Amino acid sequence: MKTIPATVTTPKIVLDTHTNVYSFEGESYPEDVNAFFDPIMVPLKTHLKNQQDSNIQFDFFLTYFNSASTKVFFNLFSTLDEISEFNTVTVNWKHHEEDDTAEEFGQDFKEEINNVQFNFIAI
Amino acid sequence: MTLNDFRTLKEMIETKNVIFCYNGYLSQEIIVAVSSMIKGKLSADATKMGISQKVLYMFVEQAQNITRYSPDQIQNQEEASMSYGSVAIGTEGDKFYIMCSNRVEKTKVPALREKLEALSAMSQEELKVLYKEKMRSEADEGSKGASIGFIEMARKSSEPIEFDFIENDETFDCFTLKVVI
Repeated sequence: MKTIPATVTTPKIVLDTHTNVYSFEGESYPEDVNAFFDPIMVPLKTHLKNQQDSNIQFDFFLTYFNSASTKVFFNLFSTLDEISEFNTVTVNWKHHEEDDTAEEFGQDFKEEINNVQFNFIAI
Repeated sequence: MTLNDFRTLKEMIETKNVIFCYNGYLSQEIIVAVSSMIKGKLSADATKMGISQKVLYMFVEQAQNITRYSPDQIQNQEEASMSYGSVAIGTEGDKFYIMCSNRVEKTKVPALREKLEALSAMSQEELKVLYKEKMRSEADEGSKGASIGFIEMARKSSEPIEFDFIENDETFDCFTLKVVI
């Protein structure tokens, strides 16, 4: 299991490739989004694409993220949609009860994926 | 600047219900610090979370546009770059405005103007279609962000985005943008 601690502009990321449970929690607006996310997302997507008949779970609790980060997550959701053909994929999209902005972002993502179980969890 | 000049400037700012106004070199550190101030101030005012998140979003997008694209950049001692521009956040009645201004090379103005004119004329539905399209495609050439910041700002703005380009000198125009929530 790999844990990348949060910074003021990047989320806490937990990647457990054994249990296939992943989480992203916090804020995301680094100055150079690709420099931060590429080393994480490239191996993660390779691992995900090699999965078959697995239960894969992604938990998101992002309180704030910039447009460049949105694109990174959007790309991740495309991969999830792809692998959902051979796996059971669940996304838990957590947001503060009153934060309809984060909820709306979740709706945008949900529309992009067909076979993924997408749960909204208001906290 | 005389004491009176400075007071006049301050009074002008205050009559516009400004929460925050900055004119100078911006860096990621400053954006982080101001974001913290915005969260604190809006939370103290019991602003609805969905609204304060949008204000924060607009501020960060605009400020990061300045740090990425303002032609007036310098390096500090740690060789981190800082870019010159202006940002303001304030209230008009029960709405928030978030605006920014920086110089833009004249050669880049026509493309930027065309992009923004198109966005300000689009319906929410059209903006959403374009947003999804951009999300699925590679970033525009010369774009250091996801090239979707303006689209997302237009989607979140409760009124059409307002902008203009004013002649600055032979090489540069002054670009100013306003969004309302």
